[in-house]
Amino acid sequence: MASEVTFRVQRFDPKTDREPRFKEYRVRNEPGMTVLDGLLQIKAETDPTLSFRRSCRSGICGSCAVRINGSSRPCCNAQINDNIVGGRLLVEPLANFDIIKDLVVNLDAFWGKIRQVHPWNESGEFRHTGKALMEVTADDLSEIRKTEGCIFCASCHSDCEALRSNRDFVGPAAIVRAYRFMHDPRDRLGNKRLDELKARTGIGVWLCAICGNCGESCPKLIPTNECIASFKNSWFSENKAPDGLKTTAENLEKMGRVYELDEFALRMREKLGLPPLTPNNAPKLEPILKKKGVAK
Amino acid sequence: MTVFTHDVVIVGAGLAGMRAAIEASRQGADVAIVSKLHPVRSHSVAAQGGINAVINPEDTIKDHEFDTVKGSDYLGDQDRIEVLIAEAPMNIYELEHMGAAFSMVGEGEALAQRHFEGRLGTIDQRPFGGQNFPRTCFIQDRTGQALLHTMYENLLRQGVMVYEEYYTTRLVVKDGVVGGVVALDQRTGELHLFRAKAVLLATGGYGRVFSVTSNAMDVTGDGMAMAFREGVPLEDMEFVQFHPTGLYPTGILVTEGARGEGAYIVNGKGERFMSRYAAGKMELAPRDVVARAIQTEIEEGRGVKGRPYVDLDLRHLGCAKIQERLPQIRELGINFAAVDCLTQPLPIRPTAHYSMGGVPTDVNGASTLKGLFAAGECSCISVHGANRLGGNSLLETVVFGRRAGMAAAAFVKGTALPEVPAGVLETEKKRIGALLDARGPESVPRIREELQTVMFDKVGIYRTEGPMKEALAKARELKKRYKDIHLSGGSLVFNTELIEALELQSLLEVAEVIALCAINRTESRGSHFRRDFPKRDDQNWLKHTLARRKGDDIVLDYKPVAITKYPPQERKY
Amino acid sequence: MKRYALFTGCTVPAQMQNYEVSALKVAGKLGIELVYPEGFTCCGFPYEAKDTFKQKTISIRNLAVAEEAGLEVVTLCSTCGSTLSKANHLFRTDRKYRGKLGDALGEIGMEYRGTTRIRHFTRMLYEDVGVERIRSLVVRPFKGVKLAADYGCHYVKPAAVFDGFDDYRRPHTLDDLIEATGASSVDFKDKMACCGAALLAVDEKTSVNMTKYKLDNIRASGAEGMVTQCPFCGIMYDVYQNTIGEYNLPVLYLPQLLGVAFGIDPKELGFKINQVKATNLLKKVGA
Repeated sequence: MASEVTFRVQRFDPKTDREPRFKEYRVRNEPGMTVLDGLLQIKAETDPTLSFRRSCRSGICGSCAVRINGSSRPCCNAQINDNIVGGRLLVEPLANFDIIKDLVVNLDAFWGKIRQVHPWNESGEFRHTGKALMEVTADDLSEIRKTEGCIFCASCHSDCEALRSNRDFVGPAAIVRAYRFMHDPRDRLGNKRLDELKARTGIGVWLCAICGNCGESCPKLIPTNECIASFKNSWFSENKAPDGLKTTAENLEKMGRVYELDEFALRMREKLGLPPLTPNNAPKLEPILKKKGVAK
Repeated sequence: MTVFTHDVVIVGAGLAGMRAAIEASRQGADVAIVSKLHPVRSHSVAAQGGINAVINPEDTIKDHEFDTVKGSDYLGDQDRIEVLIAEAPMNIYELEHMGAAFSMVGEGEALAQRHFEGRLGTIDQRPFGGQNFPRTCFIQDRTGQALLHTMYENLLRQGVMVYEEYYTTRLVVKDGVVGGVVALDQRTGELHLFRAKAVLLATGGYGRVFSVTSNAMDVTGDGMAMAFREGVPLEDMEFVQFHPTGLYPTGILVTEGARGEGAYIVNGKGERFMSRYAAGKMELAPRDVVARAIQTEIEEGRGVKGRPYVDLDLRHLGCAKIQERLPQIRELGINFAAVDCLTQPLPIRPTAHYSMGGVPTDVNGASTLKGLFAAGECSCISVHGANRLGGNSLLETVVFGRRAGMAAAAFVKGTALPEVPAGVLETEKKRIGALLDARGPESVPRIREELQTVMFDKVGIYRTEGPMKEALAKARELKKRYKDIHLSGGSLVFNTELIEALELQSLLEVAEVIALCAINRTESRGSHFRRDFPKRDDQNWLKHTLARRKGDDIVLDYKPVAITKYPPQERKY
Repeated sequence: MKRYALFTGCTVPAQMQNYEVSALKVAGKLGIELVYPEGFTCCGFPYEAKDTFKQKTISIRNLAVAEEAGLEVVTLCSTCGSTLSKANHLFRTDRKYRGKLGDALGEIGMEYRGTTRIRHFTRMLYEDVGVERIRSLVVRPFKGVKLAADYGCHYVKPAAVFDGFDDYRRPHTLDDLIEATGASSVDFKDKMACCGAALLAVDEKTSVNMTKYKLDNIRASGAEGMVTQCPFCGIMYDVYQNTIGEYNLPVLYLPQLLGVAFGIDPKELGFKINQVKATNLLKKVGA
């Protein structure tokens, strides 16, 4: 049941091109073929000059992430048949990176951000003892398991809306890595990792626009948004949140709503014949918000 | 063109390379890693099942030794196996101290029942093929990934210099002493000389010699070929492990852990046929035994739906166990074969998986060439003999990676920086330039594919002299045809066409050695199974093969096996 | 007559009454009753930065209010919809969380059984009314008018909490409803780009850059107007538009568009509140 499908692939040769260009290739498509299989076929049979990274082809090394029809993911486990839009398949390099050649991007910025968070277990000198350091509950371990599956494919970085407008953002992958170590009972760096992350990146973590793309693009289903929020919570509890967000939270505490139903708003509502609303909802939320401490 | 100088240059950044780098650096040496991939992309990442060690008081060192010796079909050097097994436990704890979060006893149940209280304090172990005790430590079903990441993180912590995406094109040797390597920075297309007092090869195996393999596309035997070209021998190259459970059709790995957790292998007639091959161990017999059983079923027409595969059935394990213990396998089946193992069996067939052979070294990773060390899959110590046990390769990388790193650091102390041949960089630049300008009629992908197909078909799981000789002739013919290849030229920046052409040189070099060694060994042992010589022959063949390049020829030599405690017996499961 | 609890959230009743009033008018036209149960507060989203657990408790409290009233929730704001749905999803699927959230609610004398359904107003239109019925009610077709659909991130993300509704990578439901009015919904680069509203209180420059990115892409597509369904997006694209550049791109809430198409007088649809005037666009269809 072989059929043909068109791959529209972004090309860029730094020596000859000023701008990326697109080239279309016909690919023999058999059921079960992945997008990587398609690229390999192009390289072997049609155009050996096409460059892309690939290695394990089993979804674990993280090399081969590209944008398929605008969304980033490793292409070795993307079925061609699931990704044909309008009769063709668009393959572009990861976004938010500089292109080296064709689908190969410069990931230095990505690795740099990972390194910023001290991505290792700071448990002192490792020794040859006859004992595991770790004494954990399944609860602790489940936090590690939730995040340690990251394969550094950089899909989240590529799909990040905030990074597109501000490359200073520390990015989801580094935050996820920090989370993994912050929840490791063996780690001794603890809050220092957070503080340094903050110091090194300015408003780094706060630049998340909460668009939710990283969570969707993660091939390992890591709850990236949850990790990012957990860091925000920590800093917030130390009174290190940006003023704007503090005000927003205070408004919620004061009024049970973020924007005041002021005179103007109330008049406008009346004029438009909209139902009256309770201006102050704070008493409803007070019992929830007054509780001390950040719950997990 | 720059000249970099370090005490120790390590080629390859998988588990062995990074472990060696960390150790050498800890010992005070100036270490750099030169790797064609970013470290976390290295193929160690794909190891799924686990890492063996005796850490349960009910287990014994002797049992692990014996299982390994027996698994090796008595070809493993027992003095080295003793080192591997003795140092295994401390290396597990070391990995744990480094940050690896091993699966713990009770974790699975706790997570399944969402019961989170209570401390867990013991590393869990699962049963693995060919072993009499559940001694394989694991991290869910992505042990290699977790360990590789842990190692990379410790490499960062240690501050080791990494030249990533640098393809090493040759070893630099003068007067029988290694003085460094030449490597191509793929990003800029520039060629650089790395001078060093010691070079440590940790380049992994050569799975890509075969058309069906579990190995990554980068596993092309570069290190072995590089050393071989400089006159370093290769040991036991006829021993190629075929993993029984490669996913059909791609050959990517379905972990032995699946069988460890209780999966069945079933043929087209619905039979759990392992009862006919290894009634005692069934699916958990050693890899070579299971791989041959599956291949026999397929060749005798008992594949599923008449196709070249059998079924790996996990359904009876139940959703909870699969989802908790083997989530990656499920993901793999869905994404790569469109099969959900909760409801359907996975189609599998044997796949080329591991190289027992490699650059011969002593127990500290030193090769026969002064200044050259090797560790991991590209080395042959030999602890795996004719067949490696599952869970012993990750172990080998850390035990001998550490030892080699330590030995290399000791070696460079008091050693002067060796001379390098004059103009080596220019010569290499010319060679690469000529390759880039090659405009012959032959295609790199075609030569590669022809090589892989003939090697899988004729020097694969079952071997016979006639077909193997055809394969050898073919490999030699392809080597000639390679001289007339065609490249597109253009810029050297991330020119993966050029890299693939260089890798093909390695594949051709290694394939010829494999075929020749396999033809010469007229017995069956471990993974090397001769239809024309189906019995093991200790009288004549209880010895290691050594292949060495002499000009255009390859000469074979043999050396004895070290036997300390376990005299050879028949290998039965 | 179908009844839903209208969850207005914070932005809409205080600043985007045009969205609210047009939704009520369109609902009326379709025979749908939107009721305002006593007890709804903010959805909890603004507390994400401070305390995600309390944030979820606030969400669940709102769902308990709706459960008590026996009504399904319809939100105008995509972010309210996503925030409530996330909390609901967690409550339903995570036993550990369910227990903790249940306890927190119990402490304030409330109970939630997990039965409340939450949908965005657009989704409710798409699923319960249907594109065909909406098409059949159009008396002022937007024929030949090119409009750009702005979904807003939280209309479809996180995908896991929307039980398979629409395709978060390439959603089509808003486009379908826009095209039901006779307009053509144009394609443009990075259609699902984020407006950046969540960063307004953190880093205005980055936030506005994000808004600009999308406005530029829409301008390049030749669209004559933008149709949104999220008040946060509305603030960025409409209220902030003139500070970013001269786009002159009217931004309509979906119910405003539908209302005009249904023949409702634009005056009743709150167009006065729209910062970028839609006069020319409305003229085109004779409104």
